[in-house]
Amino acid sequence: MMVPGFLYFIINNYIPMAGLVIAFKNVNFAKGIWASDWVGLKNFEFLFATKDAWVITRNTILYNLAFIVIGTSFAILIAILICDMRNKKFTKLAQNIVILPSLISMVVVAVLAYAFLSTDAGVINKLLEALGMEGVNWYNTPGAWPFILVLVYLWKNAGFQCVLFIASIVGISNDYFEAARIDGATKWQQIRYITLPLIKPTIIMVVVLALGKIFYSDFGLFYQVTRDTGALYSTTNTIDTYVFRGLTKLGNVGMSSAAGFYQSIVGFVLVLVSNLAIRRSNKENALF
Amino acid sequence: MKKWKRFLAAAVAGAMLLAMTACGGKETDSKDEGGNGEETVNITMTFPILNAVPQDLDKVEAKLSEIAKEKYNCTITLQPLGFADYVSQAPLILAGSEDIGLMIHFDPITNYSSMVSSGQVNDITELLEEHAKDVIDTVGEEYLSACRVDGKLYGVPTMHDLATGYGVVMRTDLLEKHKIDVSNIKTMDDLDAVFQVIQEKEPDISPMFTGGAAMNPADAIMKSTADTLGDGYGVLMDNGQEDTVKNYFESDEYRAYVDKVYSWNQKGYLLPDSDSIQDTYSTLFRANKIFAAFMTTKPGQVEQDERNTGLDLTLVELAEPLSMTTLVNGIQWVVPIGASHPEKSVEILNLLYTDAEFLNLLNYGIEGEHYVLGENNQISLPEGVTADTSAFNWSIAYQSGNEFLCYTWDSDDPELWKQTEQYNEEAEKSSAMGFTFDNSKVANEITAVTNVCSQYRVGFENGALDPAKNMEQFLADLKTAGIDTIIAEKQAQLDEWKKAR
Repeated sequence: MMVPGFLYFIINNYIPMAGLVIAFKNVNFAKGIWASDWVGLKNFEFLFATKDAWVITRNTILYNLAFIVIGTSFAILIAILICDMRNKKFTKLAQNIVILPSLISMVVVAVLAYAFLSTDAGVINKLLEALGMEGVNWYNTPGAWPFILVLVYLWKNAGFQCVLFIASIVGISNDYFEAARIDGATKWQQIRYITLPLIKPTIIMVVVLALGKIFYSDFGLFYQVTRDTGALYSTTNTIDTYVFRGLTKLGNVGMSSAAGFYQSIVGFVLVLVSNLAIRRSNKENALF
Repeated sequence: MKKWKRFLAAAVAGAMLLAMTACGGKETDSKDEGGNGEETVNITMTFPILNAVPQDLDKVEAKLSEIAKEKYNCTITLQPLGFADYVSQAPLILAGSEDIGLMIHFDPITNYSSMVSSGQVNDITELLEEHAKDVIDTVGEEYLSACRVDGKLYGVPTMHDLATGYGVVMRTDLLEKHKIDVSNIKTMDDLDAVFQVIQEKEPDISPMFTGGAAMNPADAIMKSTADTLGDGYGVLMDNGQEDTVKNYFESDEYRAYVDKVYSWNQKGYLLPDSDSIQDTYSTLFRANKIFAAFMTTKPGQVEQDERNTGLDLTLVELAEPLSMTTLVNGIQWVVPIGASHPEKSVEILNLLYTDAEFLNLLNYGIEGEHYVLGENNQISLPEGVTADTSAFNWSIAYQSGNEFLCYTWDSDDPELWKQTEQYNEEAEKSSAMGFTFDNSKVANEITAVTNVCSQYRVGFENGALDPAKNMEQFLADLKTAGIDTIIAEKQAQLDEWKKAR
């Protein structure tokens, strides 16, 4: 029974790993990958050659931390609210509504965002003008973007994430809540002392898996939604967009796989470290 | 049920086996060259276009294939990409193993010296000698030499205008409506008065579009006043007559340009959010959004844009044409390394440089259907068809091969090609004409500088960033990214090249 799954992983995840050698080669297309010259760590230099390395690493990590913390809390909140709905028909409707955005492509999301933020015809600027205030040139205001991007992220992803939490909340036996109500526990106390502790394993799993991807940024979010505007790079440039931008111009495969390699190593270490930390405090909650 | 399933499985397996043997057969057949039973080879040609992909592409493709099939036993697939798409697609095509037979290298979207040093394109020196002697004779050694790297050829320059000036085009109808006289406009400063009138009287249209995010708008002015020596990171100022390589972004010329553009944006003359707009000026002209735009100039430029936009346009030149290596080797047909039949690709070049019928078909479509031939080898759109409704309308003569063999539009001067030849001869030539920069030693610095430039340049050059606040930071970032290392390397290579001459 395991064979198909196994084959899938070998073909799609393990065989391509041989390509990692590209990161250490000066790829010459005429010679082919294997015959190209080895260059050691030279391909990695460009990542650290400028202060860009600091800006993109900071942006990538901070955004992902914000997404993990705010995104997960928000998803739990929605899950709890949806589970507490009495009207079953409305529950279904609400679930569908929150999941819908995650089915939309980032390119479409970017257009929607532009409809809100465009300088001359955007919804927000029209509102501001109607209120007698001056419109803001959003695509030229780097300071606003951490908030805009987090908002867009929540709108798009929270609905999908909350499905996991809904599943585990539904799995909690109703007896606990009944007993709590009889003892006079408030709604907040029920959430604080019953729901949250019982879905803790799910939360930890979600967070640990997200930590493994902390060095990857959602390319569509950072490239499309910002419309690749240069003025916003200081707050929106992440490792993925940086690499994409620099290398689509040069077309150097060696450098792009070096960046990819660097990303996966840091991600791997982060998963190991966070899992170790969790195992120290509570063995049962650890992933492995 | 079970039997039926088994039958189906057997049928699928059989079909797959057939398909596999068919593929295998094709491979071996096409490899043995010259035999009479040779299989027809398909050559895919990819290049950037300014307009949308024309409706009748398939029809024209079929006709092109007819000619190619008869002469070289090839079929042709055209794969045109919009300019903004070409920017992101071309490097990926080069890095992949897609079977593209011929591709346009279009500076600065793709970089010739990177392509050559990383082996992304085929060395076609010998193939040209063997299969396309006519191409070598037609293009001439003077221009081919600008494309040689260590004596080897990796591409063939298309024959077009080889110098570029700089100017601004404006809508003639609005100029006349508001009685604006453009004869006195000599510099960018003179444009303010015009834009002011348009802003007051035509509130629904933006007076000016600098170029948007698809390309760096100042490239046009840079190329007509300095030799960019390939990538523009380190240039020869004063029309390429200076000996020292300098940083263009530090120059007074660049500062004056960005200051001006910023002041225009402050006054509301520019199309809003220009720095994130990917559309080309011809699309925006058509959409009735802008009154004027910057552009590079050449003989017949206005007529070409009029056909693209369907509007009457007036050109005001702001800088005299200049010729340099990058313009000669800046648009070339190259044979990507993924091409399965490089020798066939080179044979197709014969058609592109010496076969008028093939060229006209590629450029203008089918006679009688997409154009009508009139006097003096000039053509016009069929009756009732406009630039907007034409099913095959693109202006790619300059990148199709030998444009001097093509027809001209009846709106063009009948002597257009003669004028172009004269223009090429008369244009001022950079002192580094023929020099190609090999950037392989400074690849890290180029990546870093490219990133800095993409952060600031589009913003500055579309008037979105305030130079007074940000210019210092831009220049400092360029220094940290290593632009001085690139300039020093360029200077060293240039000095050596000059000595060798």
